[in-house]
Amino acid sequence: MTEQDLKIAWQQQATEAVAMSPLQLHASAEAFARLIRKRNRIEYVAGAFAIVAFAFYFWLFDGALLRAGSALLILGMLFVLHQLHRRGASPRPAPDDLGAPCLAFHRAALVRQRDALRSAWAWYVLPLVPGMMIFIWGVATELAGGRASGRWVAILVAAVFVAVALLNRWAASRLQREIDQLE
Amino acid sequence: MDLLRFLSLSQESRYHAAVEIHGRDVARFVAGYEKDPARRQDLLQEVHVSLWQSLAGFRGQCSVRTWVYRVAHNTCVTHIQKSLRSLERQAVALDDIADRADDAADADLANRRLDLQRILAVVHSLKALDRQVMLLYLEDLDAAAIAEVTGLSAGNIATKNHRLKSLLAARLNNRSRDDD
Repeated sequence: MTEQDLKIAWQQQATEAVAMSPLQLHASAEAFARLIRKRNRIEYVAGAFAIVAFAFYFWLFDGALLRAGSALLILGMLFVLHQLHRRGASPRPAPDDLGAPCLAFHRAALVRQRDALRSAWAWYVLPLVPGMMIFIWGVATELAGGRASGRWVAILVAAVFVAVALLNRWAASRLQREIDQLE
Repeated sequence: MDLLRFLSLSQESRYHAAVEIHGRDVARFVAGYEKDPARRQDLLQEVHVSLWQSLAGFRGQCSVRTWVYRVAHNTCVTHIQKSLRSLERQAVALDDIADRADDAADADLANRRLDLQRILAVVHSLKALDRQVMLLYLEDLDAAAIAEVTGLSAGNIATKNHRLKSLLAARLNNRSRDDD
């Protein structure tokens, strides 16, 4: 088979050019919008559940560390939910962007992912770190009667958060290399 | 249909006209991005919805064919981005694939008789931009048209086309030797 034969064979594959009806198009677009709304709702409900739980702990416990940790976690959750609402970008690109040349589109997608990796930990993870550390410290010292070494547990949690941030930065730098390799 | 007449149509009519002319090309592109038949059907539907939505904003920035091809490729890349990211370690650039041993592909395709399937396997292993160039090449677009769709420079397209030709020739020759 020659190269030209191959091209002809490729173009003559059994494919159908079936257009979707307006009803199907609208239904499909709406189904996707519903999926996004559902995803957002799950995040808001999870955030609201955590806020209610830590508000209950704030009311329940007398210890200063537990109460301070609960309050900081509530503030952190509120900040994260606000950011989710403000940023709330759809994972699907805007229809007008889809007509861009493939290279520009590909580069823009990589840049978006790189920026998300660089910034997400700062607004999605970091706001919860102080509250989480103080709360765990409180659990270890105030609930366990000072037997456990809460400080070390809190430091361990902080180390996990730092590792997450570093992993994100590493992934972002990989994307940057990919961007640099594009023409 | 000329561009001015196309632009005078409603969004729905634009979509139907575009699918009538380029619908089969789009279906072939989708096959180049998704192996699984069920997912391929979903992806095809997604491309149609993207095309319909994007045509509302089409102002004649390029030819209808270029627009349709861009939307199809960009939607496919977005759709498979997650799996593409995880497969990126295995996906290879056009520069490297020609040097790679063909033994594994040969073993895998031992029972397949069609060159088309062999080439499709190569398409599926390429990185996003190289895959786009190869699919457009198989559609018999010239370098200028491929450059317009992809945004790559004509020089880069010429280099990639040269490598594609060598790659296809090597793969088809291997197949001929296997048959002998």
